[in-house]
Amino acid sequence: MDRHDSEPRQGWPAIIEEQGLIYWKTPLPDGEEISYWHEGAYYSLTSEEVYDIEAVARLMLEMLVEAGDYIIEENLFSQMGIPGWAVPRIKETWESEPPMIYGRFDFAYGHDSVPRLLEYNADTPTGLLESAAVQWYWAKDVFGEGVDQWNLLHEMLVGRWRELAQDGRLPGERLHMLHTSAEQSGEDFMTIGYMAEVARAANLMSEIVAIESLGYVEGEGFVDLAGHPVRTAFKLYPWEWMMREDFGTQALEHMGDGPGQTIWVEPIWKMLWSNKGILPVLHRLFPENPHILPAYFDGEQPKSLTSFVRKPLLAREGANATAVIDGKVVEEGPDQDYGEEGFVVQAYTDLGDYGAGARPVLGVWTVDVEPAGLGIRESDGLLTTNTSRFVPHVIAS
Amino acid sequence: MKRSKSVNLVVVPLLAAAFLSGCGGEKETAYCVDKNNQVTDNENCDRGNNSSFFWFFGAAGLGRGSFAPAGDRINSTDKAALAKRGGFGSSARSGGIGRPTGKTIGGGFSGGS
Repeated sequence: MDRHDSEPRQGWPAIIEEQGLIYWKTPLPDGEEISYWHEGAYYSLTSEEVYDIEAVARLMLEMLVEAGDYIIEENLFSQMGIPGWAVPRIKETWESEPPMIYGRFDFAYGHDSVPRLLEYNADTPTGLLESAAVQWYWAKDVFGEGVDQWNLLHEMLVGRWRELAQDGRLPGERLHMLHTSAEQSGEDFMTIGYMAEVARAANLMSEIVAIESLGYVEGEGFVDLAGHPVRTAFKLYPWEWMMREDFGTQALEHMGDGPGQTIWVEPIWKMLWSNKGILPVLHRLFPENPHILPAYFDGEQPKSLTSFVRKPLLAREGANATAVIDGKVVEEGPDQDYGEEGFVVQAYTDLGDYGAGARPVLGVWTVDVEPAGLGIRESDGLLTTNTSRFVPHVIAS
Repeated sequence: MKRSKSVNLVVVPLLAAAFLSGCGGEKETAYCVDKNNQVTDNENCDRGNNSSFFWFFGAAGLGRGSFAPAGDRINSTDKAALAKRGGFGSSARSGGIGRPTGKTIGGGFSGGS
């Protein structure tokens, strides 16, 4: 994989905003703004590299199934900070497999070209629109129709919604697409908007609703503002938050495809995979696997591990993560009060400097249980945080 | 070829324009008030068993103890008229007085296709 400089398209901000990427300006604490979308560079991968990474992602999904079984058998829920009242539904849905749509692996891809799993965002992954659509249009604009990119995300999402609808697995007259109105940049709203777009392409009707406005009627279950029952809800709102909020109990009690019940996408068992506690579990089960970094629940790591990243069990965008090299703290992610439930410690791995100090993380998308495409974010530091940039890619011909 | 054949965006540009133009309007907040319209903790209304507490709907910004202006209020025991709302979303922000209803004052979008 290589990184190349590239001339940005004339008028690119208007182009990407039209395509929904309205949240490209990232404010910094000092009041400056940086661009989250960066088309002044791109990455190129060979077909062999793509097939290799794809194969690793497939293998990871199989290992994750074993890891999920192991968590349930060994009852690791409390160690992972998963509340006991959620456990029965997690176990039940793990078996019954209600509809799931997507997820995103984050891989380190250093100069030895070995993908190493950093984490799996299985519940509320973002970066979707820029991966599926914005970089697709960029590639076409810059390199023409013949260009290739590892990006079947749009087609596979449409296909997945269509398949679920045809199999009768999406009860109700419409889908309810839930975002939080507390998110001000538009990222959550547009991610939900894009999901409504792919559902539309699958001939499904959807309603975009702020999760704050969701109503609950005793005996009838969840309703939207107009009073329509919410039978199938796609939510960009993590389960660990829902669990602890006022409607958490109702969500657990009224989960299912019957009248007065709601099918939640992603399903609640995704709490097993999106939790960073999955990392020590994978390491315990597959200690020799080259794609899995040594990882431990905090406190269980050997003294010999002196270069590592300590991450909260539940957090996003590098929040409250700490990078330690040779026993010294070298970088800390933004403090967003995560970490109450505990931490994991994962061996440090070099993301690689691909030029000008840019360190990429490969976001490998999965639709259902199939690898679907790639979205690369890079940062100047060791941690990939909310100040990292999305950089498009192509497959070198 | 590992690239989608077409990526047709129909809804997304409309939603993006709507969000950017701020036509979401001012977010409505539900406050729990007592019979004198004085703002109190949400939990007084959440219990739904005390007819001297009411939900009042207005713009954000009222604090505990302040008085809500005259306006619509619904008895907190009136379950038929009022599905319980606001039970999700608290983790995404701080503060415990008032809660967004998701409705907007003065227009707004509730999107979809």
